[in-house]
Amino acid sequence: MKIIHQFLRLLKGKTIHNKETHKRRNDIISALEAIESREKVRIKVTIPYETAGRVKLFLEEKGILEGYGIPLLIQYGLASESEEELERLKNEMKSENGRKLWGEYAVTKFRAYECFMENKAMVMSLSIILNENKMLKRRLEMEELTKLIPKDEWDSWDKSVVDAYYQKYVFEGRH
Amino acid sequence: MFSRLVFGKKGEPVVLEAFLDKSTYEQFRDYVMKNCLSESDAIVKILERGMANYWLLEFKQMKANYMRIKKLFEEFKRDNDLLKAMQTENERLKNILEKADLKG
Repeated sequence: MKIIHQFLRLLKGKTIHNKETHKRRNDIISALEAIESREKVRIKVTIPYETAGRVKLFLEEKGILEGYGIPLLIQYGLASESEEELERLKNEMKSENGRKLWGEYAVTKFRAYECFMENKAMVMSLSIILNENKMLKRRLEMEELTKLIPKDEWDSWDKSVVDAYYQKYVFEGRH
Repeated sequence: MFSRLVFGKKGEPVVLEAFLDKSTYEQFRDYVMKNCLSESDAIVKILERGMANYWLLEFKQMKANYMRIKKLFEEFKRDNDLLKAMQTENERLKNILEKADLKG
């Protein structure tokens, strides 16, 4: 669920233009920075100019901001993968399946997002649809058309099930 | 407050400031101790390794994310089918009742 949240948060980002909102944005950024650094440990070291230049260029080429890229490179540099494991990953990445995987990942991520948003819209009116379903089944019963009443998974759904759907898709599991 | 590189004059050592997760910081401390290096030398080696293995580890991360997303997608699809089935059924039942009303 975290991946979807990160993805949604990114999409919800709005550009802020005027002075007032610019000030507010700075406040928000300061607050975010404070939260971000609260759980973090700060290190400050000097490194050779050449290494710093290479790191800067490396991150620029990949379009990664220093704020995100430096800790990521440190994390990757400290990764516990052995040389054998890295070699295995290299072969896997170069294989046909490995190359295809990037595309499959992008497509699946998009389809998951699309499906999530569609579910969200449907869940917003789930109570109404469910009540309508119950009402229609009652009317069929009254019309003595009981043979035409289907038995469904949602017949036993109560408020807690609807709430769970709401929590999952509308509140995105945050509450 | 974000991690950054602070360049001074050309050719002079550069200040690297980074904010690390506690676990990464502990790994960093272990690395320094285990290899008997200064923090600066250790960071240089770590950054070089990080850059060298960047795509391999991105690939590994992507694979893990892909498995999670795939599982999520299956779950969303199941819900989607169910929610759509409910809407379709309502339309079908409405049609039955309309026909019954017409007959009646």
